[in-house]
Amino acid sequence: MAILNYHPSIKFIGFTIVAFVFLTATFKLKLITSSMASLSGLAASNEATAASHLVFELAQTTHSPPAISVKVRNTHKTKTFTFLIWDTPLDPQALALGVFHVVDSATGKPKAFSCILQSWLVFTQVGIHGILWKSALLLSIMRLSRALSSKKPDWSSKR
Amino acid sequence: MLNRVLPPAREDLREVKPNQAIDHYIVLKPPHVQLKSEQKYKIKAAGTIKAVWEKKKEDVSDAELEDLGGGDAVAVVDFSTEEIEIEVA
Repeated sequence: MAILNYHPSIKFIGFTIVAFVFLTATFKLKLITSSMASLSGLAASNEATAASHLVFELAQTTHSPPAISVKVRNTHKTKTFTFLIWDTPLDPQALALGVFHVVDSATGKPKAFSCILQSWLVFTQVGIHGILWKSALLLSIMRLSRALSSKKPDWSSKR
Repeated sequence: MLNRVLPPAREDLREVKPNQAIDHYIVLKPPHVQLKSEQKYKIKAAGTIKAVWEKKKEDVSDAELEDLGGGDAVAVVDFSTEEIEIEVA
């Protein structure tokens, strides 16, 4: 423990480990992101056909309560398409997900609900794991660096 | 946005036959949408369809559904609608 506190080379090794952990975590995150990108990159011909032939249309159906219809039209003459409703207007969570953008016609201002709700959703549904994970990592870094730099090896001490 | 359970259930798939359309209805109600009466709003939808197959629903295999977890054969398509004006009574 005494060596750990005073020897600069040990300190250096400690910080290298911390940096390594951090970089690996970042790299993993990038891998996940890039695998998601490749998901969209491939099957490009299928994508092009579907993009030009699946047409989404909105129309108001009632005034009170305000309701709309969403029509998904397949304009292709021979091909049948099947799609996943997640994150589309057909998703039961569409309103919460912010699929719709609503602005006040008179003021031109966007209705804030989707933004607020969206950030709330991000925080609760996805973010909480990330936040917990990050704070755990940060805490261990802080403890490690404190252990490495403190003059006293005693953990219970205030300094 | 949401943490979804993969692979998706088959009931989350919709099939659209050639030259046909499917309809879906949504009530713009609280808590997600707080529209005042006697007002007009402009609304549009935009986003990304996470998976599109050029085939019938019954022909989408289980393996293809599982491909959503990072497979190659899934086409992702952006969509957007025209903006419409709605009136709240």
